[in-house]
Amino acid sequence: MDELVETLKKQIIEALSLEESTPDDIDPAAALFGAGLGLDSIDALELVVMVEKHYGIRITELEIGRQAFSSVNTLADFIRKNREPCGESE
Amino acid sequence: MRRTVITACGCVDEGGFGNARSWTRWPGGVPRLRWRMFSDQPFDRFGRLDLLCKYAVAAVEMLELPPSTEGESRPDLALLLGSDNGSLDTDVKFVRSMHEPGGASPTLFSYTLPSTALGEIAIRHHITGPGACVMAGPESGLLALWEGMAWVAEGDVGGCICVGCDAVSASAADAPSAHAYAFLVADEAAVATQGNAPLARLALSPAPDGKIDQTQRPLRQLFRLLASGGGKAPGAALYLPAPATLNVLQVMTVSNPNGRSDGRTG
Repeated sequence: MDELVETLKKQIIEALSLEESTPDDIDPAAALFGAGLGLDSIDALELVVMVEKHYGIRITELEIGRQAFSSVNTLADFIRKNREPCGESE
Repeated sequence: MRRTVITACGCVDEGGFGNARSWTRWPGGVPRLRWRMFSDQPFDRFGRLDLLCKYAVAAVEMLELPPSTEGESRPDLALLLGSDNGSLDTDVKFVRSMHEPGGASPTLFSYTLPSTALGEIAIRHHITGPGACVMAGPESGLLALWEGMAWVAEGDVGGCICVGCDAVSASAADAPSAHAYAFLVADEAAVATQGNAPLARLALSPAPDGKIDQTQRPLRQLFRLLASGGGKAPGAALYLPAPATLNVLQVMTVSNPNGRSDGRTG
């Protein structure tokens, strides 16, 4: 089990108040937007804030964010590549 | 002037949406209600709504409006929301979020207008008629009901959903304070044509002395009257504060295809 992926699932549920969802409901390979979790543009902004809040990573370019937020797996990869060596998640 | 009737009502109060982690008055906290307790119809966005929207949407759901299909709109149905605090609860949360790592919450920002609650209701029920939000002190909900009845009586719209709603989150020491009342106001003649019986026919008028008993919150009083069937009794009346005594803080018009842009001001 990928610990970061599981942590991200919980953080996404909390950040977006997905009351009816559990971490098990989220397929880490599924698209976050559109057909996947059905998130919208406000949710995308909320995820940007969440990543900065928990991992200290600022996403300032649209295309980078688009790729990072493709799925939970891609988001986990993005965080691993960009966070500080000592910047463990909360 | 057409005669208006109330054909449905709904009510939600803080007994339902307590914050289990912070409300210390009851051991174990108050159970947090979920959307499925109100409706069998799915509403995936409910968890993301702010407290004001949750209460308002839940109360309107209790009106049991006939389902409308995707693409079908309700242009002849109006929406009125009366709120004392409006979006203040979310405003405060938003300001606090500005000082958190990562910055302000975009989701909170989208709920920093009380009229957002009207938008959520309109989207869910495909309502495209006029809408307005009235902030006029503790009796704002009553004012919304009064104004809605006037819209229907004057023929501006065929019906109106009138909501009185206020919601403030619990702090560590206090209980949450929240309630929502929703009333469906219709043209009596149209209701009779459709074979539906009015839930109540009430005399709504200014109190003779221009004052109301502030301990008898009028919407709660009205809801109890309707729930008990008392509204059908001859002479049932609900006294309103005289318009001149109301201190209207803000009237927000959401949409108004009929050209009315006024709320009642005094």
